[in-house]
Amino acid sequence: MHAHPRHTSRYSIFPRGFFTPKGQMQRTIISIDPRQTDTAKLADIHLMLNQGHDYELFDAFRTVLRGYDIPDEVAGIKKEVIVKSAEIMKKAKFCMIFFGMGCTHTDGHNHNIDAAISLTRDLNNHTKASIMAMRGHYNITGPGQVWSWQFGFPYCIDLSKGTHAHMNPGETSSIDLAMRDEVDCFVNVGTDAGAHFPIPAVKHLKKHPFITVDPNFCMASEISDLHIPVRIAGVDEPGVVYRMDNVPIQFRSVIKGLPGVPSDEELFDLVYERMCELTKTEPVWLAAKADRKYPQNPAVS
Amino acid sequence: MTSGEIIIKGGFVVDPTRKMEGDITDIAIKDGKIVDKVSSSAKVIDAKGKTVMAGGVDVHAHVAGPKVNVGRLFRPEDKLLSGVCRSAMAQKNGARMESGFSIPSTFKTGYDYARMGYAFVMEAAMPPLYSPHIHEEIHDTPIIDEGALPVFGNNWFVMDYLKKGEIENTAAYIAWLLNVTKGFGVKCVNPGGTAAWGWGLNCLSLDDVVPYFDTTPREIITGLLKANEYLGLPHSMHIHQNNLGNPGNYQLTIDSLKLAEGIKTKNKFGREQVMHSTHLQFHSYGGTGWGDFESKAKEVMDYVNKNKAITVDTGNVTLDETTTMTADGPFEHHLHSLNHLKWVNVDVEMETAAGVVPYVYDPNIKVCDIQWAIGLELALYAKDMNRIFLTTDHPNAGPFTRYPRVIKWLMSKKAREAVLDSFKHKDKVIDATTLHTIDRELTLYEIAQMTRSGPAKCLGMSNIYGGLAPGMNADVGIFDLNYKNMPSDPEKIEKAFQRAACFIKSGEIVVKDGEVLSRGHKKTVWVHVNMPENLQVKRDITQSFTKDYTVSLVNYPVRDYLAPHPFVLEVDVEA
Amino acid sequence: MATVTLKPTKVPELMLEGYSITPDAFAGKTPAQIAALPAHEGKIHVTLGDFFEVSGNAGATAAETDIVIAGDCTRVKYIGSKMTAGTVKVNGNADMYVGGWMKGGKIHITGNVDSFCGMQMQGGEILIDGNAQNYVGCAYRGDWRGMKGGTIRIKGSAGNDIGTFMLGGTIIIEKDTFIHVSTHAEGGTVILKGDVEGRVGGQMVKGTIYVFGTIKFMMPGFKKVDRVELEVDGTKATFDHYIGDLGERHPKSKGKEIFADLYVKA
Ligand SMILES: [Zn+2]
Repeated sequence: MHAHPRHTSRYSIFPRGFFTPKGQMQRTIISIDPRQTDTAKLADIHLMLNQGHDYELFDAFRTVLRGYDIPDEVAGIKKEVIVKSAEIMKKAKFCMIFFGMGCTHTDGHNHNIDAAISLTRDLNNHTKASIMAMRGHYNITGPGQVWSWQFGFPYCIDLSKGTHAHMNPGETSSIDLAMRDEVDCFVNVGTDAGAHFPIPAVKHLKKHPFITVDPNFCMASEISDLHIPVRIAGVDEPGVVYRMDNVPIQFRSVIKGLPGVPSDEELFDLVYERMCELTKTEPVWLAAKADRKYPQNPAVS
Repeated sequence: MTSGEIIIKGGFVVDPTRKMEGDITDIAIKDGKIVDKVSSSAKVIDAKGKTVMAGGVDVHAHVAGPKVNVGRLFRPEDKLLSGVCRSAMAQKNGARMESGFSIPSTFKTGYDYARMGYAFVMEAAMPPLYSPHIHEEIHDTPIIDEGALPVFGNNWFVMDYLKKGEIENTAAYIAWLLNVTKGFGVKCVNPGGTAAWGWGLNCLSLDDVVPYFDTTPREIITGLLKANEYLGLPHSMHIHQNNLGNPGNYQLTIDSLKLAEGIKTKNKFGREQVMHSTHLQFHSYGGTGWGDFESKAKEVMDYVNKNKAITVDTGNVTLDETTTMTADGPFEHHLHSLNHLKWVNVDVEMETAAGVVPYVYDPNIKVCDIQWAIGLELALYAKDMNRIFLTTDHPNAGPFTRYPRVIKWLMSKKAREAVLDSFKHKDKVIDATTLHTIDRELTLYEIAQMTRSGPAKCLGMSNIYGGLAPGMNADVGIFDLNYKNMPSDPEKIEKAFQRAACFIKSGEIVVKDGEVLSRGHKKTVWVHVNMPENLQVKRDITQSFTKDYTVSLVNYPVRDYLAPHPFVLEVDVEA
Repeated sequence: MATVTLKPTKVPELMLEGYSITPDAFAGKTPAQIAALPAHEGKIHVTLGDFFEVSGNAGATAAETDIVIAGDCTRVKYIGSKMTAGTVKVNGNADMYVGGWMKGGKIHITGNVDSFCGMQMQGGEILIDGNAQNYVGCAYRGDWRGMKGGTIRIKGSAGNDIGTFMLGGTIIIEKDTFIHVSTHAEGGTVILKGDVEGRVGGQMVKGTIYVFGTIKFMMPGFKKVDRVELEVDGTKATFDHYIGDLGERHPKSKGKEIFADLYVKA
């Protein structure tokens, strides 16, 4: 309801679908959250589990689905409620699981979702089921897609070898790199490390040059040695944005950007050009893009 | 396009379009095209003792788009041991970093195809809703020309029109979709089955009824064949049949192929077939289960050989650890339940679905070995090598980087026997296949038909790709093979095709001794249909986008800047 | 046997990727040749000689080569990774990937190690006198083929993700462990001498876990079947025997489903 205000009305709970013409009337909502959120209030069943025990709860669902008994209480939820919820999921024509950072940014991280994915797989033996991440930031899916086709990894990418990319969250993830003093220059692009990183991590990063590329003032820009403002993709800069379900949406610019403020791409092209100058190499990839003409919004240009 | 003149001197030219079987002749290049002659200032490439062929044409591979990228994303381990991918020379040349084995990054995809002397690759399944993504990836794939086939076989508009037998409306919808997605032709994956997968079901025979849509695979296939010819597209309908990968499916395969019998070709692009049946290996299975699983390649090819209206590609299993990915959603679920490895499923609103599962074709497993044999048998039983093309359904049966290995197996009985002898279950494999009885060894000419002239013609581009006649694209591969004195060691064949001695793309040298020198002149090839407006279809599309789609109609068409190097084939349809 | 001694001469500013510190890379080399072996500090190419003083010739083969690092390697990754024979001893701490993808030989770290120790190990022995961080004997990201063989003994405590996707071999943690033990395992043995927070054997298909201490939060997919007397790692005790994870798929052998076994000291 709050993290994704349009989600319930446009996609998940209320809309009248092709096969669900009555909208919410034809849907059953189960909310799994240790807190009494507004989404939970909207739900038919709210499983108010003990914080940090999603993994056990998903295992309980799976155990029940395979016809085995479970303890009287799992993760603070009574057995009867778990059995009833599992039954609802199994009998649904189409079961959709959405998950957010409460699962991915707590103990166990990937394992919590791994268990939910396993549950989704199991449900597909009974009905049709699917699972989707409620991603945190606008177009966070975009870099995941682009880096995947360019390097084979969606995030935590270590390009320092020059010969091949390496990825291993826990080692090459930004906070781990910061905490372990594995970097000597930090460039913060399109996020706010000042707001989202743990303070000790930021303290480590501040020992070295700290650069922020962001359209706005933010906590990271406040503590940066250099803050470069850029245009906002989808507002004063057109381009492809990847929706949370990976669907590419071709955004147009709706207003004209401020004079002298580059787009992210123009900025990085300038940086690349300068680096080629400094290293005395050919800027071959600028030439490669020479014929790519970006659309201008006729209303504003 | 470089205007630099090049002359390739003294090589053995193998060019089926001009019936050249190793003739020693020079190939002249100017302005990116093959020409009759060049001036004396042309750059000379000495090809003496080497084989010269047109750039390869891949009719079916999964190289760009959402499911390919899911494969990359969810298989970090596919990169772990692929090692150092960018040589010092490549770094110096400004080549991009490469990664991945079974699902290489876009850069590695472009470079590896170029190193093998390939000029054109068809992305075999484009979910229309995601077409901007496919075009973004194609743009980031250097050197090679690419096209993409949107999928139609489970599209709600198509099923709705075909249920009512409306070929004209189907055709008008296809034309609209090709235009807005910058697509190349009509792909049909598990017709009806993928739609049924919306309910967790499948269509395993031609007459299984698709839930809700009340049509059948038979109606969809026949309807798409007719609509394709109504439009007269360069390529024919391109089908991945129902019941892929299951024992005993060969009969359904032959029955589906027979649907092409009543349809006449109509096009101005020199194409002769009305149906292209892809990765036939997965559809040529006998037996009632995995226990008595056996090859029916002979039976299937006996039919294909008889029916000139059909072309096929092989889909050779290469015995590697790879990643399967297809718009056949229910199949991937089935596969996951067999091998228990990770599984991704995506359902695309109104249009299609897709699944991805890693797969290990383990030489110690009998079924994998039989699949390996079937793929080779198909090619070796073929009579007209211009109607059967080499693929691995990359990456489904193996990565495209194994084409040279498949060529080796097809050209050398010795090489095939060595593999057969290495199998743990050799006797069982021999019982279930006939490969060991086949003495045929394909010639370089036949390989050129399977990888150059054949697929180019099948795609309706025989005047552009796949040959070395003046006027055609100057895509020329030079391979370290002496046509008159072929090596007795089959490994040398694989090596020669893995790394071209030289590859010229659009008139520019892009690969020399296996090293990439240039980013080439990449083109995106698509089909644009000009036809009178069909008001009903226009209204249906508008209504559906207002009511059912989660994106709006104005945001749907792929914008021109996403495909900045267009090569457009225009098709005119009269009212 | 020949011993090569590396004496740390400076602390790397970033992390040193010491992927060349294996008996396999050292075999047949003189101290000067060993000092010239490659390493990385961030994106910079360096040599082992930039960070260590090398003495002693290596043996002719990996099996005949012992490596002793006479000092702390808190900021050195990949020590002994991919080694096939011989020994490596570090008198102090070591960073990530100690013995990762190791096939044989022995590694002894007298201090602590960071994460990914014994990742996807296939054989050999790793002994850590101190504590280990996370991912002891686990699989690489995305891979379903974890540790296949060999032994890892951590004398101290360990974090999370012990033996993820384990297929074989043995991991012993002598003190406490946090969460995720043998997750997704299809074989192998994990022995926990201390207490563990929870998530023991989640999504486990096959394999064995012994716990001498307590499990704070038991997985709901584990069911107690009997009580047995066992000798585990030299200690005799009575254990409650559980099978699981009942929520996960299980292979059948002769018509009977095979489960993973969890033994908790009674
Ligand atoms: Zn395919």
